[in-house]
Amino acid sequence: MKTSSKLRAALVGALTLGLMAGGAATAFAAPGDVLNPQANGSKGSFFLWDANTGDYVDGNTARVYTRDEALIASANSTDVLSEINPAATRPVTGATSFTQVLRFISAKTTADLNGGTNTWKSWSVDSAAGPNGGTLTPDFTLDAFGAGVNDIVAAGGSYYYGVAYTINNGVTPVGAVYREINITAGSGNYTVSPVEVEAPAVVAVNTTTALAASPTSLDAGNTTTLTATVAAADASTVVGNVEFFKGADSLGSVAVSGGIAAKTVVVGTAGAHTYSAKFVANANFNASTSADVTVTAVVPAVVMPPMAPSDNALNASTAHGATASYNATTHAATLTVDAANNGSTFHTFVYSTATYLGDFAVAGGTITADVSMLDAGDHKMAITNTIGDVVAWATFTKTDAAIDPSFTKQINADVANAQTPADGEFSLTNLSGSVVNLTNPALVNGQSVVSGELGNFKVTDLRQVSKPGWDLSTTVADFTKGGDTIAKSALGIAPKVVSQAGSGATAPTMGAAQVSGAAVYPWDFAELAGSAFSGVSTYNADLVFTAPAGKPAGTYSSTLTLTLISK
Amino acid sequence: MKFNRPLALSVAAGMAISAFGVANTAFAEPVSQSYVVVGSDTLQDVLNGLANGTSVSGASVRSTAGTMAIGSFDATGTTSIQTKPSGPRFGRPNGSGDGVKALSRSIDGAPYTSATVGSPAAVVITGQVDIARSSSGATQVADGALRYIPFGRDALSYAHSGGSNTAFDNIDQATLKGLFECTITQVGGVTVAPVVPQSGSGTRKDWLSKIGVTEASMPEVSEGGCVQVGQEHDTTTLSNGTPFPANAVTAMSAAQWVAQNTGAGINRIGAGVKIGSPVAGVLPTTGSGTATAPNPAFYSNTTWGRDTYIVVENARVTVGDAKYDANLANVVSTAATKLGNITSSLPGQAGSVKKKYGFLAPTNTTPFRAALAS
Repeated sequence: MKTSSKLRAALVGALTLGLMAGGAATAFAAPGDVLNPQANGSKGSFFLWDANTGDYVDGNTARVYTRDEALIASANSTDVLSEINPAATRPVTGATSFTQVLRFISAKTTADLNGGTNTWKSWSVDSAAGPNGGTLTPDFTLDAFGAGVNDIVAAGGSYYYGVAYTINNGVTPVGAVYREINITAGSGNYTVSPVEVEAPAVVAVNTTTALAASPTSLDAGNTTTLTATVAAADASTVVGNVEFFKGADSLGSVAVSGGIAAKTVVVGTAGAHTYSAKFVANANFNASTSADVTVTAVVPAVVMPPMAPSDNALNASTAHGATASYNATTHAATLTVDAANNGSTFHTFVYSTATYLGDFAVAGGTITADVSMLDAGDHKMAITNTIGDVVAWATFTKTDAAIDPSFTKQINADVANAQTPADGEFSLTNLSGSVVNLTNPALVNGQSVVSGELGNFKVTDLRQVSKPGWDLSTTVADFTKGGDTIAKSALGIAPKVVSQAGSGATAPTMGAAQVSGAAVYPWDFAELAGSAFSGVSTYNADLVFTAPAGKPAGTYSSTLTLTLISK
Repeated sequence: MKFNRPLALSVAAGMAISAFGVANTAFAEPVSQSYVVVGSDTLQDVLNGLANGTSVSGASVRSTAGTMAIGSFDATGTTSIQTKPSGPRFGRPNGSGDGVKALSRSIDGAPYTSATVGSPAAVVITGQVDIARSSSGATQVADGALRYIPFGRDALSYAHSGGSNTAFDNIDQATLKGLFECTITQVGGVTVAPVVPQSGSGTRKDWLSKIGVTEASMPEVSEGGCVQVGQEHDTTTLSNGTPFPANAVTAMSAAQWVAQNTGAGINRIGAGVKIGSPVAGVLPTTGSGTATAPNPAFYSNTTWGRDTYIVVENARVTVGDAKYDANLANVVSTAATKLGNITSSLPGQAGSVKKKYGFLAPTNTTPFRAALAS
């Protein structure tokens, strides 16, 4: 059962309300009570009334008030004389005493609220002089909030306004109730945001479910309709679902509409079948289960045809003037008899081999029956009463061949969209800068050696259909400084793989590292053989530059070019 | 505010008491933030309550003019007052007649001299007074410059210091007339000291009219007669500072009597002073002490009940007039907290405050126009 936790406490025994220390948030609030504190921090709230008529005006939160409209406030929405912050509970100030009562308007910040007359935009003196020691029907006309109202109206905007209880001559509030007021600049027309009240607790209502099946006995293979009727204990409209069961097996759920949920089921096998319906619990309604209902299915009896008159019973004396005809369109034979037989029902047979067609009533002096199953040729058609006497018979000629019983079904088959893979991107992307500085050379065995990294770059090959493969070719120019040259063979490159990705991709083969001093360019940094694609490969390389002996010190520059060539 | 004058001065010469020797401390009331109210003693306490803010009805009520506070000046206090920023000091209007006169001079700009003894003479007070308190009405004039707005219903009776002498509790109209014309001198076997409120008081004017006496037919002591001059609604001292005599009979507003007893108004009740009634069997008030309340049966009496008014310049509260002042119109309107309100269904309405001060709703609720007072 779903109950608000606050309500549950109130239902347990006789708890006395209002015993808490004054000023605390209201425990055990009942639905409709003003929340204390409000979301904006106000210690409870107030409601607005017409100061001239005493009418409650706070029911419409969209209402626009004028600045000189005479209003008063009270602590609840039902009693205009309900005082704000009455003794002894003091919901606003609690155990803290106060010396002044002021109506105020402030900006909507904690600092402005708590600063009293030092920070408020406007205020006016009020009192706690009601019969219960609280503030009685304070003047909530906007113009009654002090001289600062004119500046507030000129500026417009959203503020807090309400009643504060203070010490220190108004600079220190010790408790306040306030609501948000939204003022239109210039006119001073305003609206007031609503008061938060305790939402009503949702108490789930009990239900009852009754189940009926129709029919309750039938031929196996036929259907029965299960009808569940759900009623709420408080006669309210039930909203929810009913789940049907055969024994313990679920047959599925149906939504309740107008108190009813129904489901038609096939009773396939002979025997007694037990059905039940269960209303599924939800937030507003409790579950209930119906009594079991038994549906009995029997294997349908095969009705043997009645005895047919023998062939020689069909003679001149039993024809009784009947005639027969065949309709090739409807594949039906019609026996025309004495109109005195109208309304009576007879067994109907056709011959050569006596074939029982069924029981038919004579209407308009005729009986018509389907004879599509007969071969082409002459046939006799006879009708008998229940005792077996031949009432009438005649001969007709069937012109078309026997028609086999058949039925048709349309088959609809869905086919998935035809799709085929396609080739994707083929590109070379520099992921780092355009200049590599190899700095801080060291002398190793008398030679200047300096090293560094090439910087990340990316090869993208998503040609998953054509898979031609590729070469990543590297060319390096000779290094020059002014008129001095160092051959490109001085640059050693050792490729390294940073990452390799792609579903179905093949990792390329990396080129053998070039040794500094013996490097040969052009050179393949990496290669991918045909019939494969490499996906996305990110590479870097370690560079080593060894200057030959005798070269002057300084910075020598060259250009390195990487080119991605498809095979 | 009421001062006790420390020096007893001779009155034999019948001269006006001059300003010298009066211990007039340098005490100034603040000027008004907006509009100024002067005049009747009867309405002084309730107008103070509404103008300054009061919670006597249980709720805080203050009659503001839009967002601005107004200023109400007592009938007695310092000899002269300044009512507005950078305004002139002029004689304090003392009483209804004086208040309406001051309002009229504020409108027409002719020089004003207050009825308060010792006040400066012939001061131009244009624009210094906006609202007059009046405990009596005026002759209706269709296009008069003044507008009398019904404020509340008071009733006029008398207070007496006759003590346990029950004859003083019910003195009928004819006897009262004789007492104030000095043709009847005794009630209940003792000599009566009739006391009339000061000149310029609306209560004085109303009282004489109700008992059928004229200024001419009323011999004051200064004229060789028997009638002494007191301060309106004050049964502790006379206007010359001497104590209120024993066996005295003086006009007393029933509303003032209620307010002075409940604490809503300043208590100026002399020791042992009681309220009497000229109507046999109907007292002006019910209850005693803080539970004193107006008696509607007496207030509704057409002879003794009286509607009181606040008075303004008609043009300034008439929409469409060039002089129309929306904020002045606002403060004298009949809306819940304003001076003209006479409903008492909710504690925050001015009518509820007025009731605590002894005023019921006026019988005639329609404002009327009158000429400027000369």
